[in-house]
Amino acid sequence: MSVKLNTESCEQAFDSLSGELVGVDQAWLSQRRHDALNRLGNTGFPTVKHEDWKYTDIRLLTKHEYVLDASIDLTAMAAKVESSRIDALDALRIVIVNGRFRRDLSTIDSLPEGLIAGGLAEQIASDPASVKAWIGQALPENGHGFSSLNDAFVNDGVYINVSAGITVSRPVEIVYMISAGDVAPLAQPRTLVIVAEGASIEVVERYISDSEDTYLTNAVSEVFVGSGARIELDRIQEEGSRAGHVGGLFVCQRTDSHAVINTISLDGMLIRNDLRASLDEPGAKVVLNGLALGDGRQHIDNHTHVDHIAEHCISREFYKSVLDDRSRAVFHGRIVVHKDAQKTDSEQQNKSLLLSRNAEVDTKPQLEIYADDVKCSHGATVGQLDETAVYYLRTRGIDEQSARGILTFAFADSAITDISNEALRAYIDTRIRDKLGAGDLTKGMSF
Amino acid sequence: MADTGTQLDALVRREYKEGFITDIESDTFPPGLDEDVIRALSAKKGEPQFMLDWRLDAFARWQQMREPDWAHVSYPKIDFRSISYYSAPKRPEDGPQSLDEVDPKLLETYEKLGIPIEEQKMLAGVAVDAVFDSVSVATTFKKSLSKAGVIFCPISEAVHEHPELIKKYLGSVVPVTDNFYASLNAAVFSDGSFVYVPKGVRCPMELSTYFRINAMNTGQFERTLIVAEEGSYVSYLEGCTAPMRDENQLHAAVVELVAMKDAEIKYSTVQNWYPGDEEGRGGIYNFVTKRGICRGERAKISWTQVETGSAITWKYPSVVLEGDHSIGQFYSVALTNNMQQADTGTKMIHVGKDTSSTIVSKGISAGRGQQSYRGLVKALKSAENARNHSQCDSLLMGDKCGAHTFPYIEIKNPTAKVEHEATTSRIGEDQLFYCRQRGLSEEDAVSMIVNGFCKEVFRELPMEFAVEAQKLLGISLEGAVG
Repeated sequence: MSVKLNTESCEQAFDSLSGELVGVDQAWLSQRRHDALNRLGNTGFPTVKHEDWKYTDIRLLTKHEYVLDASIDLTAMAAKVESSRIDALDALRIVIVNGRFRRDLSTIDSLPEGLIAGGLAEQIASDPASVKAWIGQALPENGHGFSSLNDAFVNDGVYINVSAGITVSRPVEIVYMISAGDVAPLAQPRTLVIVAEGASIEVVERYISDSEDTYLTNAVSEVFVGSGARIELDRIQEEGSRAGHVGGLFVCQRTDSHAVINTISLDGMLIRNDLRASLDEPGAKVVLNGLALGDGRQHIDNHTHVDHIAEHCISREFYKSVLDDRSRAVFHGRIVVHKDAQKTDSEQQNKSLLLSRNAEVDTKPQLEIYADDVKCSHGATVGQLDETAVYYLRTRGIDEQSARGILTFAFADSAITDISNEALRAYIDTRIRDKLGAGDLTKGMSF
Repeated sequence: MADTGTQLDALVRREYKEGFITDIESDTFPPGLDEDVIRALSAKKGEPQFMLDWRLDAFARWQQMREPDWAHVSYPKIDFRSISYYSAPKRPEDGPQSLDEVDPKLLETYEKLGIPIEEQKMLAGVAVDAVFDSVSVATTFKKSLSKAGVIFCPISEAVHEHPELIKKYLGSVVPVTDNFYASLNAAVFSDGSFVYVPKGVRCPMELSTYFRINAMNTGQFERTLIVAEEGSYVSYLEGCTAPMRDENQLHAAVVELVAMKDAEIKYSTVQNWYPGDEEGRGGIYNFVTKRGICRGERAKISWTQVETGSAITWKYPSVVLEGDHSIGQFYSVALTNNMQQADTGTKMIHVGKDTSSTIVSKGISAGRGQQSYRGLVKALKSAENARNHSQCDSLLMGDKCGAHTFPYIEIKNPTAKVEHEATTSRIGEDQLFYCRQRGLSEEDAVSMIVNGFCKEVFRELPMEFAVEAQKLLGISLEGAVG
């Protein structure tokens, strides 16, 4: 069944496919899907005329026809899943291929007590109430066409639930893979992560493809952080060179909860991230870090939105981009301090480094404040390497290229310091070093 | 801090001190807008054909446009057909030659505003081209200006006497197609000021126009054009107050600045139009397009504004930095109180090499005021070594107001260096405590802190205005801050 990114085509696909989706016997779920389809019908897909899509033209994505149920080459996938393993990470692995959970490729046989981790479709089939209670609760009412599309066809993905007071010691790694072949698949994984009161978990979302095939990932993740709970979520995007990726991540936080979200965008033709954190109860803290490394004709768009709804909450945001060739980065960071959110403490930083004449950056940090007793600041800088720093390194006998390599690497690498898992950080360090061509001198350096 | 709250309330509730209506007979068009109105307007001013054509072209384009809705403000829809598009004080044909001939009622108005023209003329050395409603009624110091070769006259006069300059520059910075309100202005503009400073001339005095909105239901569509030729310098002051009234008034002015090689234009504004009452009734809608262009190398344009009035302000004084090494500056203090809404900021478009721009924006929001800074810094591919620094600070007073910051940064050149920083906070209790401990009253302490907050901007104002601005801010926040 194929589909184009326009309302009529999506509606047709829905008519012929909705009967085969999981949980059709669940009225609430069918209703959700219908509502989402109606929303999509009302809003359509965004164009550059929409303020939030001013700098990101999705015509690169809409020109293709995508296949919703592409077949999967299992042997090839198994090999790729294996080769993508980060050995030192020692993680519980959940593997998703083309948006569908694959128990056969996953490594989740012995889960610790208090942790449910597996496929969303299986969870809907076995315990629909556990999904009904959460799904869609973190989505904003006025979401854009892509998140409505994900919602309308919601079928499979990941379900993670950590019971109250449980600390999951091993990271949970979710590997989202694509099997393309002759067609362009549309993968729409839906991920639900529920961290109950006082629990703690580290989740690594990896979107991986080494192919040059055209495909689109339209992912939506919802994260619920209970009172006093903690989550670190690292989202690493290593999509294929012709891939589109529209990723929504919606976080809801309760009293004294703590969330750290690291978004590392490395590969992919067009990446659009919508990250929204809602600090619903007092004392919550959220840290959002991002790194966009662009080259070639890559387009990386990070939209973040933090809602300070309750008082005494803290948000920290730190996004960086390094752009080479004809790449382009967009940063749109919005912080809204609502009427009752007194004593809000919020900081936001966006720094961009342009390495090429043809690179471009568009940044839009925004503060919207309706409470008076707040401390909010934001800053944005765009520039190039400090020539005096380059000179300093040259006087130490380091050649120009290496000097620039070290400084560029240092600039980029400082965006990932909040990734607590050393094995993961080492892996990303290597990826950054390779992509920047930062040279051997930076090996072992960490900032 | 209950006391503070009460004091703040008292200050916030202070009634508009400049509110009064001068009763002069006005020669006013009936409300409405169509081609005939524009033809009549143009005929009334005896304009040459090229002006009429220009207006009609703008009107045709305006009819195709939609009112913009992106600003962070809300107001009832404006019925452009219920506005009267021309209002001139009685006896325009007489054209007062000196102050003696000016209607005493007008002079009285200035008196109430505390603008003694005669004194200004002698003591302050400021030439005043006072616009009462739409037609300039008093132009002073013309002679000493013309000695220097500076042209400073109503734009309606310039259309007749310097048509070649008008043809060349009018609409060259803000084209008729620019935006909804600019097009409307081009179609129906009543009058305004024209300044031309020839090559190498340093304008001998600060030029100043006092605008005043009078007569019920009259939209004001001022048009200002300032051209500074190579190596010249001019400082222009604009200040406004308006009488108290109930109906919303639309003000859609256009200001165009052209600075040639090595020229400098300094444009300062103090805006104190009627902001509406506590419930937000009445008050001026101020939808202004202001833009300057640095045409030549090392040209410099500087905007300084103190915005305390108007119910709604929608204003983005901008600079297009076309010439290499040219400089753009924007210094702003904006205050919103009661139900006032302001969406203001600037645009700095870097085109030439080694261009630099500075933005300092200070917003103070009190009562139920809503204030937004909206700015764009854009470096085009050609803008080698462009440099920008932006600083946007907001001060919040009271828990019902809002302060928002929407900067846009678009960089297409890797050698550009752009920095933006913004903070939002309220007056610290520790700061207040410190001042109170030193024996200052709460009100004085607040006033002191607010003035300190705005100092960077006030410093940029010409002497004459700096005093007025501080006074205005003091009045607007009297007893208010806690």
